[in-house]
Amino acid sequence: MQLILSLFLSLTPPAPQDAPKKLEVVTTLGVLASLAREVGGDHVHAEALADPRQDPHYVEPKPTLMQKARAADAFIEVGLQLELWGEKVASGSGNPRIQQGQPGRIVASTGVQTLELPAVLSREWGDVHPYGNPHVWLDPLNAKIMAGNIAASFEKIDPTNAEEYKRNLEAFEKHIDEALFGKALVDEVGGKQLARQARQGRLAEYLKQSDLGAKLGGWLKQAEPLRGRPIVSYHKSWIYFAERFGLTIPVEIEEKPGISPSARHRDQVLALIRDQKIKTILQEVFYERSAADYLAKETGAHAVIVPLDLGEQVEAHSYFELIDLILGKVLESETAPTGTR
Amino acid sequence: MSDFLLAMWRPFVACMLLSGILVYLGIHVLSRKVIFVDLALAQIAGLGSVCGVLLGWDLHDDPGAVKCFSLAFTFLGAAVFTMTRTRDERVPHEALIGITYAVSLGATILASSHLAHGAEEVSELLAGSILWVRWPTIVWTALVFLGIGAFHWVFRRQFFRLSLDPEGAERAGMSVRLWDFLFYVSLGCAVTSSVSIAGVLLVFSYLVIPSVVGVLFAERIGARLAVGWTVGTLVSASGVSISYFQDLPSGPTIVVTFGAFLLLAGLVHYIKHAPGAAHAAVRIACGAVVVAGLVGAASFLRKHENLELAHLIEKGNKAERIQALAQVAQDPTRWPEIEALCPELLAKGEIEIRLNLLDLVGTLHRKELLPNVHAMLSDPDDAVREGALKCVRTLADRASIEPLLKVASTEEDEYLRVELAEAVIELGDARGIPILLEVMEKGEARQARKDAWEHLHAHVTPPLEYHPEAPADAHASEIRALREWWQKSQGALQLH
Repeated sequence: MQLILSLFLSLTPPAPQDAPKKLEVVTTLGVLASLAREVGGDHVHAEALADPRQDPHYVEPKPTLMQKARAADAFIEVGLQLELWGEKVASGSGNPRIQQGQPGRIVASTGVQTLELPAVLSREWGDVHPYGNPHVWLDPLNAKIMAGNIAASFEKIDPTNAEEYKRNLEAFEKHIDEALFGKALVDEVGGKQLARQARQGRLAEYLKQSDLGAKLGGWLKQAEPLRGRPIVSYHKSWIYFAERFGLTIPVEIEEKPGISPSARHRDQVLALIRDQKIKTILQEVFYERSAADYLAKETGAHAVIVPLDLGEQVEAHSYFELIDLILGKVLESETAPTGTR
Repeated sequence: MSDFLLAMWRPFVACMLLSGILVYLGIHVLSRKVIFVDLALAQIAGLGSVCGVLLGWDLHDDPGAVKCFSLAFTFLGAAVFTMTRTRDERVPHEALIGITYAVSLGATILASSHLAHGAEEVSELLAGSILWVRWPTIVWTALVFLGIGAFHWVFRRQFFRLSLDPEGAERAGMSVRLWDFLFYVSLGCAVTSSVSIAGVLLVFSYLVIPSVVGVLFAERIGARLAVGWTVGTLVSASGVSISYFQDLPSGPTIVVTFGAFLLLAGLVHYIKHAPGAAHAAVRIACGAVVVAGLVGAASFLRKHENLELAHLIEKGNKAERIQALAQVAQDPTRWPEIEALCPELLAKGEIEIRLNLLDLVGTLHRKELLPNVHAMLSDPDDAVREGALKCVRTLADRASIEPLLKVASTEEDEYLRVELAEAVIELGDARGIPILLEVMEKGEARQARKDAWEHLHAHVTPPLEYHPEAPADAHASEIRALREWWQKSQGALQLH
């Protein structure tokens, strides 16, 4: 990535005095702003509306949000009904460039295969997202698809720099592949094939068959101790992360989104933590902690509180740092003896 | 049963504590006609905590400091309510209580919009969950309540006099303001410590409902208290049990149980005091029939669902479409219901739908859709191309050979090109072999070259060597030899 970037910088002439105006990009989440910066490079100024320490499902529309949306050339959202407030901000801003159907309105999750589509043929899944679980960005492979959607839209809005957006996207995809699988393996097999095997859940088998296991590096190598480990989470935010890194989440503390759990559910969670010797209770920073703390104190498991999104206000400032942070905290909890943190 | 006790023992003890102090205070609240004062006090205390957090104290690291803030604000609230209780009833006290509530809630929201976890802190202050209560909290709360209880016991005469007969108390020379202030302070302390374990909703119910039942059935204070505590205990026990055995959230269950209990008590009171008991009973029975009728009628109001598969696919959301396809997979006789929609769905549906439908076309062997599947072999989406190829291989029709060869010449992904060649060879056409040779020659990833070689080897057995790990220019001679061998012998070779 660095090499490509420096190579690229050496090729472009220094910017003239009257540098063209940057593309003003407003995103719902910090993670989308980070992807927009990766893809847009110097031609884009991206800013997120949500605070990474607050629940992305609910953001109070403030006057400044509207202002930012008014001035935007592009508005990026995850979609899948994650940010129900996003439409309010976009349509409320009155900015014609970012209305639904315009090239400046970018739904980053387009084409991502969602998990947890409701499994029963009835309307009783009222509380479930009808388009599947929206927390897709926590799987690095999905981040590539999202960056691809963003790049495609940038190319349309700003055709003069289209070539550069394409190059930046390729560099980002390569960076993700190398961060996920390790450089040696990517050089040997190619990112696409690895991603394909990983998506189908066959990566471990494939590497074994092709005798490539020793070349695995990156996040997946780090996550090897996690494979098959059960953890408990608060909200259903972590299934993509768990799926990619081999964790299982047999139960959530929150029985149904937004409703406090019943006693029986609480005790099921307790019993499960004890039976399966679960060490990690993974929770988003913005939920109230009493349940996680209760379970942690009762069982000795660790309450691991991490952000779901990135930004200046948390310890993660880029997509890579976000995954590093979450993975690091989970690994730390899983490798520490219970009842010590 | 022991499971039940283990699970609900703590919430029940906590409920009994609440019942003990709040029922008593409720009798005061009711006779002073300041029903919503607890909500206002809780909100002011919440504002105090948020201000504490704004000033840099942490809710989890310095709970003591934050508590002090909320206590100080409670005192402030007590002072406000003391000052605003005037004999001039032009502005009712209840109005001022409501205003205090609204303003402090607004201020809390404003203040918390500057906080990291603003919304969380506020909801945590007011929600509380009786289910997650632990022993240290229970013991601490019990001590606070004991203190408040003792204080009220010692000064019971003053407190009751002020609540029941304020004019008389003032005439007798009592310092109304002082005792009012002390009352609101003690109420504020009780309410804020209850709210943090049980939430506003439950605290309000404990404060008001048992005392209302008490007022209905008894005249003397002692008797009202006895009735109130009995009701509190009964409802706590039944609410907690219903919540456990019906698997419902505890707090709301207890509140609704309170409501049901009050309704029952009201009916009993009505029959007891009506001029003709029989007449009243008949009226109640009529009422019950009407209610039952309405409940029955509600079943007709249920939204009618159209579960026809074609309707689901055309009008439903993604999940419903996937479900419709799953139905067909389970019961292939239903295929005709969706048949007409398939070409368009294959071409334009969401990715998951297209993939699921490709699977379905394969398993049900719908060869008439082969041209549509061929078109998907050059789809821009990787997953769709793979799905289409898999479907083509399952359908195993020689009509696929030409489309496969055509796509293989343009496919960029070398692994997919190997698979395309493999599919051609499987259909008995040797033109797949040169495609493999090409990947072996020009493939970028070593693993792809190796794959191509292994696939080649699986179908023909060239008496030659190939080293995929060698760099591209190094194995040019190997490839040349293989090409020559293939030129010479392809007519004579049998594909395995």
